[in-house]
Amino acid sequence: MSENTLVSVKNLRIHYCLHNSTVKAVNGVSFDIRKGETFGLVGETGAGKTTISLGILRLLPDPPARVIEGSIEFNGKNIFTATEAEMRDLRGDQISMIFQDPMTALNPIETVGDQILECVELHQKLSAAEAREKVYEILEMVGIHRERYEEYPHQFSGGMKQRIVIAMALVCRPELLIADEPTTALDVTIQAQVLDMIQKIKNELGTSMLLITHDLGIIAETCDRVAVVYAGQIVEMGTTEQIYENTLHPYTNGLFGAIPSLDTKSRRLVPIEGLMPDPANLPKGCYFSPRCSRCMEICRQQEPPLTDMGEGHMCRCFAVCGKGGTADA
Amino acid sequence: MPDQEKALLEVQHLKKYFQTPRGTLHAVDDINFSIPKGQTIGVVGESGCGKSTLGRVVLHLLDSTDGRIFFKGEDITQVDNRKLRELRKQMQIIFQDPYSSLDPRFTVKAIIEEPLENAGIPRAKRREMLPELMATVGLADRLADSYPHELDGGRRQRIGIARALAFNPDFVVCDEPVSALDVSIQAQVINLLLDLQEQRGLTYMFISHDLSVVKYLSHKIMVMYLGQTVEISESDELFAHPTHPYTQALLSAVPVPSVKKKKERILLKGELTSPINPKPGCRFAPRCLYATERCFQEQPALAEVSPGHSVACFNCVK
Repeated sequence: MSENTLVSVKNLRIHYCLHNSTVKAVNGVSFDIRKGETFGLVGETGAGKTTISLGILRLLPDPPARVIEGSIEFNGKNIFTATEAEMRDLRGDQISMIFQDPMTALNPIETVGDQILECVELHQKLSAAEAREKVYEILEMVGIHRERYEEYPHQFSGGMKQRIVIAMALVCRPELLIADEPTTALDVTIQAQVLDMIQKIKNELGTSMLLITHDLGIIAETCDRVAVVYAGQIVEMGTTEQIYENTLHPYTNGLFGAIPSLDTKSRRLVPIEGLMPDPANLPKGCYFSPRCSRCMEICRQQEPPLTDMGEGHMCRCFAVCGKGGTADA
Repeated sequence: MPDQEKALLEVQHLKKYFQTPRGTLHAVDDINFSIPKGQTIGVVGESGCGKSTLGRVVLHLLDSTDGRIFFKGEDITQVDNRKLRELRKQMQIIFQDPYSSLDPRFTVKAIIEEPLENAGIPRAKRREMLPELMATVGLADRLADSYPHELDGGRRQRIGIARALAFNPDFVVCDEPVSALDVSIQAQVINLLLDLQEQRGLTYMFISHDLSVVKYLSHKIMVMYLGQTVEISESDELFAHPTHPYTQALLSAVPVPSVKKKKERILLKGELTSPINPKPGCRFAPRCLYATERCFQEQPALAEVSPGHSVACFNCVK
């Protein structure tokens, strides 16, 4: 593991074991997040994005979730062997999370200031006045006036609530910020404000970020590197430039074809035919093969390996990477 | 009514106010537009701008406070309930959320047949129509006895579409029909709506917060802000020359899935102000980058900047 790596996820497999079926949510995912970078996980509903992020925080509901295989290292420390007390120290302090829906992430009967304060009190030994000052500081950083400390969540609009959730996540200056669809519940103009603010604060504090989204537009504007997730596997991974300028995997190409864009003139979209496979009943071979236009015989038999196509641009596809899984296409 | 011949639907000075404990909420405030047969008007705006209320008022699902709605030349605000029931067969709606708009205890078959049953169509005839309706929206026959919870969002939305099409309507209000769906599925549903329009000459009012989705479907686009039209134009013209500061900001806020085209983002100040007892003056003024003294005192009227392209802004119309 290099000096520069903050999080290293290796061959992660997470299943939800239900009484009559096993939902294979994450199937052998490996990636690194470097210090200071924004790493994007993009995929559709049910791709396993949120399960991966909850795994990093070890917040998976167990049962039914079970880590079958793999490891997650944070700053060289294995998350899965840490004690519960160690995890409590990590969460909210060194790793924190912004959830999708700000309306349900806040406690309606506590003032927003006190909710943020709670995080400071848990992790830092400060006097009451110092702790409060920290809260004021972060509130102003996210663009909320310090006078609103004593107000309750319902007195804020959706965009403002999300700012409070972000303040809460950043108040202890974590090394890793996990943002799970942070702007999906917001209007576009507010989304633009919030994304802009997250970017600024992230750069100011030097935080690394794991950004989870289904929106390829947001990824393009915020991420350094991206992994495209399909049915619990990374199908393509690389720098944002590699993914957008030199798209390799048929699924990624399909996603680009399906997004309505403001620039193109065409009046018709190219959808990806069919549906996401049921994670309790995954197809044999490549998981994307039933929907893939370039599907070959081998794709239905064998699972393609994730192959380096040069300069760290990884792709999981026989049609693109060749049958031997070697790096010449 | 000069445009009545061509327009399938024409709305004049439509208003819908709600009385709330804190005052009068101006949800829809003096809206005018018309849609020619077989075309689509896209209504765009952020949450709370009154676009869904507009959709419901246009179908007379909500009584309007003031104004007139002409459907095929007939003012539907004036007709009695019996006549309205007849008209409703020709005007339908597709709802946003395919998860909550379908009765979980009905099978697919029962959901699609329900409106036909209500209209007194005999069982034998309904059974005949069902396979055809399901085929039209691309639902497999074998799903007829499934329940909504067994289906994914895209298929559920197809049920909603089949139900809306049961009477072969002329006009359909689509209220954010794809916003709850994943992109790959969203594209399937958008294409279905386009195909249906082509085959049946349907007229749509397409309500969405997503400009890029609206662009794919609309001939004409109306941008709403706090119950009012700020800009209305042919679709191509609007994207080529967005004129109102709000439209420009809205367009620039959409994240572009490309690393090459980095665009200058216009960041708006603040958030939507309250539609309750709105202050005089332009409603967008508190967030506008170009607002002048006059914008806070007088309300700008829609004025034409080029043929068929109207904008409500003092600074845009010279």
